[in-house]
Amino acid sequence: MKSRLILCLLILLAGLHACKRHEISVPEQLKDISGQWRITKAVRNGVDITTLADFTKFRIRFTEKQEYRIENPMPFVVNKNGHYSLDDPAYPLRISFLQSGTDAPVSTGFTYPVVNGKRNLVFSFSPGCTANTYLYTLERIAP
Amino acid sequence: MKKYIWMICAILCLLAGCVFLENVEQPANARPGEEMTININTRIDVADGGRSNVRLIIGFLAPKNWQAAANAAVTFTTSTYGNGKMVPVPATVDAGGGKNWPAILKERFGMGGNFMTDDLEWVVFWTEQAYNVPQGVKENIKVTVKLIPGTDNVQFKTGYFVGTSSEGLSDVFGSNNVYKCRFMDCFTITDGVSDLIDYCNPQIAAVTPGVATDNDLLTIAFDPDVVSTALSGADRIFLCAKAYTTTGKVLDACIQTDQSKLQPYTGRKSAITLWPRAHFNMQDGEQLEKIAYFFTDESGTTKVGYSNTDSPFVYTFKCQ
Repeated sequence: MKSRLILCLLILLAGLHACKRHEISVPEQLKDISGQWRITKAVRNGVDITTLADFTKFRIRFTEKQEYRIENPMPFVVNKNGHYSLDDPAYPLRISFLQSGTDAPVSTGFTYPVVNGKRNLVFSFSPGCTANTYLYTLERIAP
Repeated sequence: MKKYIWMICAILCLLAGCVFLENVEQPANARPGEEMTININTRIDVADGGRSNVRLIIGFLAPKNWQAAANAAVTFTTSTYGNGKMVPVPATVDAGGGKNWPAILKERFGMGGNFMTDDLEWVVFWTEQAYNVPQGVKENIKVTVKLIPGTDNVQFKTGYFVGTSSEGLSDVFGSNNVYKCRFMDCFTITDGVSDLIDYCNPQIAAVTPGVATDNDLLTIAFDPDVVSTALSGADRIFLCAKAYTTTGKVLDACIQTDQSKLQPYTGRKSAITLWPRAHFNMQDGEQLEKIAYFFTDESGTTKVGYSNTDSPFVYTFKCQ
């Protein structure tokens, strides 16, 4: 009788051990937006205007040193070069631009989807009248 | 045969919770920036098994810069269901096909024959509360919309919609029974200081968006079909423009190059989309008050201006 009880306890202990959770922590990859980006789609007030203006020359380069540089500017969140920062390096929802010579950063929401295997940056902003909203989709240019 | 079709329609309507848009009372003398009241008189007739957890939905057309969804106060009065408030339908509510209510109304009913429709929108409200409406209910519902139009002089063809959250734009009970949409004649709001923004009539020139600053992208379109002009039949049309800063400086951009050439647009229209700050080579700190422009041929000698005259078209930068 006693040996049965011990056997049962052993089975129970083995069972408890089997149920122990082994958590594998997979850290979220930090979002790296460094590199040169170009506009692939521009939408104004819900209407695609990509083909109406020459967006092909616009470039924005983000560096790992948190700097950005704009070439051939178009209406954008900012027009002058400066520094940028993300609100969260792993799950960024907003990006802040601090233009050289200014004290006030300009913050805007952005998304970071993967489209056709390529990372895109999608910015929504109002550079002029707040009644007008622009949505730019940017694609990284292969180095 | 026609009689049978009417009978079938009548039977289908009896099976449905029909809604009716009886009439709309618009103000006769609306002025920019001053509150105006619109009464939308509707009626419901629940002929089948009743509806539960349903909201009345109303929609109306408005210029986007009125921001009517945020600024309008919408209420309703009934005889047996009391009075109440209506609130904007959240954009997350699927009105069908994954589209929200403003998008589905634009897709289904259009923008009432207005022009420059990018600058107009459907504004959609529903009752704050949901209601259980049993079979046999016949109710008159007066919806009152109080809103403040923008500060622009404007005219557009108004549009109104009434429906319910339970039926949406379903045509199961026959087309147009469980919802109604009506467009009206040109509605004018005048006596303001700005240029008239005319959505009712096609314009030789049209600028999108209607409100902007010099840091927006402007699309300036030329329509050759409105009236015969000196540029009728021209293959290459150019923009000849002068910009006026708030300090009185004049920035001239009247040269016929690829940078000022209009590109194919919609239909037979052509257009140029430009960023004023770059197009007029503006310096830091400069701000534009307006631009005055003509369309020209390649030589620059043949010009078309406002109403096909020698006067320029004028676009004033306005932003609220």
